[in-house]
Amino acid sequence: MKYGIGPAGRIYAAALIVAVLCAGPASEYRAVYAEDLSVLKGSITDVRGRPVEGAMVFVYVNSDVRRSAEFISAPADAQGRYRMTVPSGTYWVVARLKKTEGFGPLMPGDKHSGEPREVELLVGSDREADFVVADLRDAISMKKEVSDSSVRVSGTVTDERGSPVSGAYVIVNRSEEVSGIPDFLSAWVDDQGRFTLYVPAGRYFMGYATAFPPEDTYRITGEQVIQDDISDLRITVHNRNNSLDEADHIILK
Amino acid sequence: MKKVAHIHSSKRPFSYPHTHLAVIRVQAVLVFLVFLLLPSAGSGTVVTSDTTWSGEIPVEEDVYVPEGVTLTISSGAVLRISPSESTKTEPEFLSPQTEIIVRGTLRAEGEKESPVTFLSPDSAPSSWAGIIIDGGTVHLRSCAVRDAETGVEVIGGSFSMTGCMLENNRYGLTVHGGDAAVRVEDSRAENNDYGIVLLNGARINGRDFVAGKNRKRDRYSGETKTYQVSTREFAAQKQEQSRVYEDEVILGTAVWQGKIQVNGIIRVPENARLVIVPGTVVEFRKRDTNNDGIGENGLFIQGGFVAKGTEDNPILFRSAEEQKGMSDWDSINILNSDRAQNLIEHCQIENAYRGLHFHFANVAVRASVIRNNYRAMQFQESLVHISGTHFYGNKSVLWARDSEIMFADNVVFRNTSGINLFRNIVTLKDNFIINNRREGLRVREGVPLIEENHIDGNRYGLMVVDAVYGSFGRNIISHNLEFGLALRGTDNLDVRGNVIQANGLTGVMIQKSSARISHNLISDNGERGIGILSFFGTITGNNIAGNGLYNLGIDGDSDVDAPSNWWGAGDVRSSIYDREDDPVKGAAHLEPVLHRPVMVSWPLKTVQADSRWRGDLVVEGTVTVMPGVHLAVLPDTRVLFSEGAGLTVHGTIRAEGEEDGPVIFTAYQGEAAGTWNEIRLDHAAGSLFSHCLIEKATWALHVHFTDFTVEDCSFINNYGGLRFTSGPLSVRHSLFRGNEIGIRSFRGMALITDNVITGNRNGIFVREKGGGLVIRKNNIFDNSSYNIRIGDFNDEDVDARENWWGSVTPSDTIFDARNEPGIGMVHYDPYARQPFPRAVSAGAGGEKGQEIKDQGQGAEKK
Repeated sequence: MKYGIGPAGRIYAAALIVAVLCAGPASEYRAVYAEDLSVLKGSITDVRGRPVEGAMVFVYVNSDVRRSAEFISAPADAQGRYRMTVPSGTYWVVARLKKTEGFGPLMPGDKHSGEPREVELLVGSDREADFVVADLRDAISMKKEVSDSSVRVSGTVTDERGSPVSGAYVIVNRSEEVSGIPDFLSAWVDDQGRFTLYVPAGRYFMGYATAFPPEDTYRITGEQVIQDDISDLRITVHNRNNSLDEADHIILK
Repeated sequence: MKKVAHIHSSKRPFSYPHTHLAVIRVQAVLVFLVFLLLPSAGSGTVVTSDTTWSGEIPVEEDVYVPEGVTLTISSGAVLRISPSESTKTEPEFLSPQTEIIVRGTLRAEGEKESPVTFLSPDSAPSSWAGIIIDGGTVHLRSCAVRDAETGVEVIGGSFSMTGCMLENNRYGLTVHGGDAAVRVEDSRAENNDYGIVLLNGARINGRDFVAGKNRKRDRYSGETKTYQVSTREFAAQKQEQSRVYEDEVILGTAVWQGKIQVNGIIRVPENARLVIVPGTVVEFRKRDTNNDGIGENGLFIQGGFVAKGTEDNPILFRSAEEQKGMSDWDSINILNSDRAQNLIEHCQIENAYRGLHFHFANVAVRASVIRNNYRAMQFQESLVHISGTHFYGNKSVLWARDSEIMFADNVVFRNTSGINLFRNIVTLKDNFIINNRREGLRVREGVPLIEENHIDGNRYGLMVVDAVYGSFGRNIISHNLEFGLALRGTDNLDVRGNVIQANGLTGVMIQKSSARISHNLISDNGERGIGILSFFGTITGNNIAGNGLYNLGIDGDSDVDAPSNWWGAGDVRSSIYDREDDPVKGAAHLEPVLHRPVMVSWPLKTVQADSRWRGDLVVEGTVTVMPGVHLAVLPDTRVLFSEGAGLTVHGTIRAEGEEDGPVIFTAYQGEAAGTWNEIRLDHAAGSLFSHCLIEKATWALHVHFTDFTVEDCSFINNYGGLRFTSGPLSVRHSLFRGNEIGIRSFRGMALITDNVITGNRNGIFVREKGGGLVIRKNNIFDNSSYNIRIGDFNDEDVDARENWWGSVTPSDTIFDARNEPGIGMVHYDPYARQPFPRAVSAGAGGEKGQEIKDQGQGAEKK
């Protein structure tokens, strides 16, 4: 099952990890002179690694970023690059793409880099800090990995008329004949006939059963090579006498 | 106390599960295994035998006094409890803070001159959790308990206190429920936020317990209604003992059936699989080698686990002891098992320390019962799908960390604590989280998607802490004893379309948070609709009305933007507490103020708890008011039904408008009769419709077997106005106009008086058994087919005397046995010659029965 975030997501997660690992006590902003200035620069991308033009970096003197920022960068350019000059010191920094001014909740289309990232800016030196911004939908839809060697197979079990079948579950077996307990099996299908199961990638015989253990209620009629996640597998039970026990084969699509 | 919980750092950053380096994972597994196979030891202090403490006692970790053990604290002792707020995971504890939890006996034997003192070195309120009595016995004599979240919290058991002071806590004394025995003499609760909190029928006996000088309230009591929740319970089939296991390792695939007794730890290593077939009963003997009261036998799965019961043949996991108790056995532990999904279906898991416990696992829990455990479920770094499962009677329901979770369609009912989520990507949907003694749902960090849940009757409803993303939509959060929704340290949250209503103190409590709060109904909360310490988001497009003290209260010094909300009828400013009331508070920026409510959709398909509808509510499908539930529809409310939508009432409904503020039930869109379905009352005794306008329905009201009153209502432009079976009904002073059928009776019993029934195709249609109707003093006229039509199957006469039928001969407007022999007669004589003046004013709001024109010359009787 592939359940990982993509490269951009990994960067995003890594950035957040770094930010939180580095979290420490707040330092207060202090008055500075021109020679105390530092440069903060870097890039802002979305979860797919694309530059986010117009995003801005918000710099705070403590970890409370739910307020007006002490410093705000100019909007990032078309390559997602930003650059800003601020007094040297320790700051907490987030990047945001906002259609409205300042901080506050994300509106549709707005993006945010998550937990604030602690950045120490030394006098006279440049500091690179890249950010990945996401909106709520991006964040929620990021997929993760349980294991590199498993894939997720889901779909529905229906009768010939397309109506959900109840009292069944899907089985996946390395051999066509099931002896005892199938190698892999789903939970009982729900009232919409939906099922999900997880198997290592490979070539399998698939079918269904209506009792557990399956004994003679199972039917294996399809063979399937499963390499990647499958989300819309439809198993149609051809039912001669309106009884699952009489089903004679399954069409895998 | 289990060490298992300490393989992680509580400071881990937000990250996604299963992206850790393999070596970390292996280490975690090994550490987990080592701890699991050891007997309980303890991260806190477990008092495993009778003990006496005296002098200066630094308390840096939790103190647990288990059943059967007495901890005595001598006079003059000072317990300095270190402040902490951790993510500890041990189910025997109830608070994230340092706590002293007593299930055995605690005696603090101070003297007046040398008291026992419990305090925090920080001297700040809420620095530690307090003394929690969970079924144990605590005697405090000449003590001071300070700086705690709750000085003393009595969840169950016995508590007595003499000559004590509870001070500088958030809560001085909190007692849950009427079962706890609490006696207090000569004591005080002072300088707390709340002095004494009594919940759900709790009582205090004794004398001279003074609560004074507390910052918010000296006393607060709250009680929740307990609804009919049909919790599932599986019964074991009678089975002969089929096998007894000691400490064993299972190889290959093992299939369990019949009755299994486990006297040790069953280990299922990688590549092995334990399969349990329907109808199996697995019982665990209690083994407690370290005397902490927690059993150690259980299952330890590193391979695969399939417990696949059925509705008719469930699988039971429970204690083998004659007197079964919570934590008699350890857990079903599943570790490092994420290649195939482990299945737990139609199972009942009870009497465990942790019913289910996973690390790095992929597990589905379906249609099961998990009850009477210390903790129902606990997992981390796992992929878990939980649905259709009932959780009740547990000390806590769920603790989960760094996992991907789908939690849907579950019932979480009457546990001590509900769901506690830390840094997960989680979807909670369609759950019923009700009557839990502490919090219903607590979400800390992570990415939560919380939709269409009903969170009702807990002490705290939904607590969100430090979440940077999240969506909270279409939930009903009601009747929680203190607050409904609390946001602390949040950012980017979307709080939309929720009904947050009738919570004891505050609907939405916000501290140092940013969120977009829109299209919610926030009403009827005890003190404040929204209470704010500091907030940087927007509150806009909500209906915030009818809250006890204030619709919006600002306690911090920052301004709050709350434009374009509806604040109910009356003076808006008087419902706001801000700088105008106290110059050190922030100002509420309300302009523009809406003078009509925002349309808010009723979020769920049911009304599961007593509700008050106000403002403009959209009903999108068929909403059902459940048995035992009371729905009040307040004056000036509009209920707008989408096409085909309706309302079915099995509880009671009281829609009570006012002369100048009728309740309106109408179509959300469209003008035609039949645009929406109906309001159906089925065994909804005690219901009332008063000053209501119902229009554009298929049947405005469709009533079965209900003692019911309609008065001062208008039924206009529906296919049918009122349709009923049985009764008894009282229909009075109402207007039926422009319907195909004004009133339809089928075997009905009703008194129909003082109404105007006009402009319909048939005014009254008596389908069958009309002998139970009494129709008096109505103006029934100008209905295009008949004023009354008797149906072909009605063989009973109908009493319709003393009505006014217009200027025509009454019999010309009646279809009865005079037209079709064999059906019933309508007895209309004597009848009025002039409209009844009272009926002229029948109807609701601007819809009155005034179409009578000049058709009568006086109310003469023939």
